[in-house]
Amino acid sequence: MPVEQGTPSAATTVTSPDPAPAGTPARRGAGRGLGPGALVALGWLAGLSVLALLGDALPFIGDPSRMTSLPYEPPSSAHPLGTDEIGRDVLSRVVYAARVSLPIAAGAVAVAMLVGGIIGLLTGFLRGTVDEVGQWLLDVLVSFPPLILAMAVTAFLGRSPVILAVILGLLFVPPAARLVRTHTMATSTREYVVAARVLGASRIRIVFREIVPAVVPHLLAYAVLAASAVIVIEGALSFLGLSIPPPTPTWGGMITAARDGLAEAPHVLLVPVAVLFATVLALNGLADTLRSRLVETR
Amino acid sequence: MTLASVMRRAARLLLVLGAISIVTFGLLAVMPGDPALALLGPGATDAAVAEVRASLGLDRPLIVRYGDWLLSALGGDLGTSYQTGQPVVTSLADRFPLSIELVLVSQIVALAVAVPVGLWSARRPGGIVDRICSVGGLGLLSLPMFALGSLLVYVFAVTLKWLPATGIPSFGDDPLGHVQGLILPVLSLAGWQFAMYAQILRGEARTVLAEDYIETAVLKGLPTRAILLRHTLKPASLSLASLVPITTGELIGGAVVVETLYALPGVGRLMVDAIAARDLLVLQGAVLAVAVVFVMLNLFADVVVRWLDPRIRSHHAG
Amino acid sequence: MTLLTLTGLNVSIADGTDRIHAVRDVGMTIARREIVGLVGESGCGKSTLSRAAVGLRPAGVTVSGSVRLDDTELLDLDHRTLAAEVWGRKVGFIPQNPMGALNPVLRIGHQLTEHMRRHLGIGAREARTRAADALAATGIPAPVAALDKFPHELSGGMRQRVAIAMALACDPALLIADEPTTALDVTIQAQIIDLLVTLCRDRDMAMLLVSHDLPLVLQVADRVDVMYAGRVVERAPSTGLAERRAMPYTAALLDSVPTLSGPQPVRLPAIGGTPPDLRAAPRGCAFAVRCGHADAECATREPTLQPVRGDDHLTACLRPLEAKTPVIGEDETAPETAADRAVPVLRATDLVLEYRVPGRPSFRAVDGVSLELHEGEILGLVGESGCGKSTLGRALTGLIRPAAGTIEHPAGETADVQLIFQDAKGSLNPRRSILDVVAEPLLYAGRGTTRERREEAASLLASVGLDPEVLGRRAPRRLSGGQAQRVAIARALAAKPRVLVCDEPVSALDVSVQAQIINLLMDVRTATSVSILFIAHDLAAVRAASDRVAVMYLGVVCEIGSAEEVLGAPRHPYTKALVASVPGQGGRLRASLSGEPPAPGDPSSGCRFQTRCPEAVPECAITRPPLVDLGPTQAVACHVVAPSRQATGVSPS
Ligand SMILES: Nc1ncnc2c1ncn2[C@@H]1O[C@H](COP(=O)(O)OP(=O)(O)OP(=O)(O)O)[C@@H](O)[C@H]1O
Ligand code: SF4
Ligand code: SF4
Ligand SMILES: [Mg+2]
Repeated sequence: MPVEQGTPSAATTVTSPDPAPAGTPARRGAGRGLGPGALVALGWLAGLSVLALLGDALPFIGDPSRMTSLPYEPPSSAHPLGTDEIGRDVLSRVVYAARVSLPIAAGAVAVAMLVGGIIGLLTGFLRGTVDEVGQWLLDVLVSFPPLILAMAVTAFLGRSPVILAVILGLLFVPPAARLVRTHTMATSTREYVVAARVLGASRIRIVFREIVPAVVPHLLAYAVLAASAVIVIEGALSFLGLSIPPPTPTWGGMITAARDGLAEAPHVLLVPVAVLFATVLALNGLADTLRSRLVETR
Repeated sequence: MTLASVMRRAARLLLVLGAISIVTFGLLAVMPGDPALALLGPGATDAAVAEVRASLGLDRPLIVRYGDWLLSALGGDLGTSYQTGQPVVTSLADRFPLSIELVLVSQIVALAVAVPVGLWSARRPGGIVDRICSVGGLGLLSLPMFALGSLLVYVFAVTLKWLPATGIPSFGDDPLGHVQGLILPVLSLAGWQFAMYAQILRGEARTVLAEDYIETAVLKGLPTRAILLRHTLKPASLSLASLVPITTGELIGGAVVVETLYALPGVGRLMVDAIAARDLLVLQGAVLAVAVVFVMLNLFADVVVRWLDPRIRSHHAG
Repeated sequence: MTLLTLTGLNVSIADGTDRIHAVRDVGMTIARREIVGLVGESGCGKSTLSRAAVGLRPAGVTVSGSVRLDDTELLDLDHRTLAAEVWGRKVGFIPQNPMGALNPVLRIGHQLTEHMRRHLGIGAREARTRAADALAATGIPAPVAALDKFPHELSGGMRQRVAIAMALACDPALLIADEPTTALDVTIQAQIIDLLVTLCRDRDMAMLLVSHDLPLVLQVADRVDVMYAGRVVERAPSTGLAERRAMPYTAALLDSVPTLSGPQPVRLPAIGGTPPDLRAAPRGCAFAVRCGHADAECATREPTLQPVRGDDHLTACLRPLEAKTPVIGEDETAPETAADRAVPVLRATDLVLEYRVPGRPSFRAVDGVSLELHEGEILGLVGESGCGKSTLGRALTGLIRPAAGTIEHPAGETADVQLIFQDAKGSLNPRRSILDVVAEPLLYAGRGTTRERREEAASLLASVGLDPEVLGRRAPRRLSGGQAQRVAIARALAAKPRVLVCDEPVSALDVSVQAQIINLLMDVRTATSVSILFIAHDLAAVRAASDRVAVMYLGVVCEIGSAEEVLGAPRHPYTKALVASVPGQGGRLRASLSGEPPAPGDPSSGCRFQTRCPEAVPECAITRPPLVDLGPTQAVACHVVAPSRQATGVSPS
């Protein structure tokens, strides 16, 4: 689960608060270029999304639930990533599993950011009673370990993609709300916001012109991190057999099923693990880049 | 801490516990369909359904049912498993020790490795240790526990055959087997925790190392060991302690996964089995118990942070 | 006898792909028992030099040359040996910021004894006894009890005493003090400097005193080294340097510091421009672009340190000044200002301001203040930190609602009061261009189109001495502190205020820039007849800027009057002590006040100043002295100086 990290600072000696600015070249071209790592990550995520979208319109990808061959076939030209325990094409299955994971992650993140963002903005700006009540509600939400709550709710309410997206989204409302609240409070005591008040800006204007633009980048960086966490939790649920039921392929479900044939067909395990790992890594790496970018440019 | 702040904290805790009980109770109440039918599972006779309905008091108002349920829960009665006929509380008591052992041991392992690694990589930002730690940490953080666990099974149980893939004898029966059976589950759980702790500690320690008081300590002529262990670790570990709610939440979820993966008889496994068998009273009881334990742990961590940080300590006294 | 010898010292710091040459070819000696001052503006390399001088080489910092302490070459020793044999043992280090210099989670006793036990090989018990002695030597009341406290339980002044005790613990021969008093109030600063000098004399220690405060250093050091852009540019005994200075930079530094004595200048002489970028070595004299005395050669040949007036006075200048030649700024006659007519624009009466902290009694930051601000005047407001200056200023802008009392605007509306902050850069929205920042108030007032607003903003920028073509599109982040303060002033002026509350507008700035901003504020006042409340803790800056001055102590005004009266001939015991604590008035700097202010908001009866007042009488503990007029402009709140019985019948102006 994501956390806001402290800002590492490399300086070990005293730095002047006011480096000579006249003629100083802009330091480290802030804002331009994402660096090779982030580009690879973006490329992976975009590629995976395109594959999932196009699905069996592509060569090599077919119906993920059709048994087209013998079980546990190693990779071959017909099945580039081999077949699984009942002879289904592994490549088609990992690609189709992205059709489950990615939309659920997107939906959940949308829920979390929207609800959490609004709660955080309200509690952080209005303070007082609104804040007290809001904090208490969030306290209740975080008093269940995330996976347990997701398990229990899906067990009782059912496991449609919408329910999953909403419940997984709710899990990330508290951290999103806290993040937004913290930044809202910090920003509203920043001197440029106080200055705007003295200069006669209205409350609405302060919230939307001064605070929101300062907070949104932090929320977006967090959204990327939350997306990775949602994918992991959804993976755990499907690993436990509690997410979208079969025959729809899921990464977690594929990993569980690979268990029995590990000795003869490790590719059935390794392929979904690798795809899941790459996706989560890409999101985590992107989130890191975004965050350090935020820290640098303040 | 003053009496007033203890009281405030206690009041808040009560509110949260109350809310937990409502949510847990509400799970059954808002479930679509007939809870009695769901409790008994498909194929139940009409008579049995009618009996369960009466015993659940489904005809009475919700608030009355909640009151009844809460009273018996407080009295240690969470109902009976329809599957085994055992009281839910008894199965929980049977299953909790192994889960706690698993979580505790992996927590200790994770911390024991993360502290030196985190401190060491903070010492030379950009150095070799630091780079390995940051890349490796990011990798480990991106490897979900069930994926890591499956890989460990593949390597150590299936391929190398060093360790058992499933099951664990009790410590009393077979101490060595118990320890062996614990290794893979603990590693699967500790991997993520370790990465998390090491990353946070590394970031925090870096911040601390840039503080003026570290320069003061260096120019007092203290050895590097004292600077790292006394002057850096203590302030940096404060944020580690405040992470506990997040990491424990993750650990408890992880325990469910790991117990399922390695077929260990813990609470997590109990819950997964209960869901599969639609033994909903067991699930409800386990959720309640886990949430209560979780809240208590977080409260404990909060108290520890407050006690560790003299600034907060006296702020609340003042 | 020499103790420390630096030869050809160069320090460069890795900064991304660049290297900053923070110290260039510095040679220096410090004799036993000598106090050497090292001064210069921010970023000139003082701190870097002082750390390299004890052999400290953090990652990314490269040091070359030679550093000899006694007969040991420190640059040949590795970190471990330095830690075991030199630091804490032969040299003691006193850090700048007492708030950050002590570990917040370790007890004072622990921090004081850990290095003693290591260096002196003594046990815990003995170390504790010695630690208590060291604390006592630095004047901490109840030293034994202090050992068991955490740093946050002590005031800034007390923490700095602890830091000094820590540095002294193993009887070093050399003390390095990097801005030891910068973060402290002036009365506490005097105490700490007094203490340091006394300790050096008593214990035969030498000290390298690093500071940006030239008057302070001149007063306590035997010799002064002035640094500019990584080099020592002038070295001379401190006595008489004020007249004998030979390097134009030293002269400019001396002239741009406002003083408490002497005639009050109409404009402060300021140094234009900013120090050079240290990434590339300058070709000629690094000061050439800012130097009013430069000629063609200065831009091509870099001067080295050469004797000018006798062997002990060296300077790095191709065209050294004669003794006492004014280099910058000409005297002008004071322009007529509206202030002379005393038309009130803002009036606070019996103002009480409180902060509410949940779960605690509300805290009274301002307790019954009455003030009047006249059209076109600059009213200085001084006092030590926590006395309620900023709270009062913010209440006048309407940001804080008074708990009691009134604020009237005899000539206009609330919105007519604008605010200027200490952290100018922080007061500018980092996501807007500078033009848009300045146009903000016009936008809020709904005036004009975007184009018209930008045009008006551009002319405002020009009026505060910034080029809108060059700076207008930039982000605030890329401004220097002085430029940012100009932008903030331009923005405030866009709102066409009647009153400008300036909350420590110059205290984050270097003296040369400080002088520029004070001059700008005075110009603005003359041009627009705006009234200015100039809040500062620096008495000399206030004297330079203000027509009248009010002095606050713990939430009350204790003296008010014309700048000449209050700072030239103070009457209230507290004002007297404040004025006496300011360095640069000749003679040895002495702490004129002992003790520290009690916790603000302490609801004790009687005079707020009674706990530290040297003139207190029994009456002081019982009744609160009211402000009593002493003349047409001066008023004082003190039972001894201005007994209130006498005052009855004197009507307030
Ligand atoms: N860790 C660092 N990384 C990059 N640049 C640095 C670092 N430390 C110092 N510098 C630069 O080195 C130069 C000298 O800095 P130094 O802190 O020694 O100046 P100073 O005279 O002590 O300034 P101040 O009065 O602000 O304390 C400055 O240009 C500063 O920006
Ligand atoms: S060398 Fe020239 S530019 Fe430098 S200080 Fe002397 S006169 Fe000025
Ligand atoms: S009233 Fe008394 S205590 Fe207060 S300043 Fe005057 S003499 Fe001192
Ligand atoms: Mg410095």
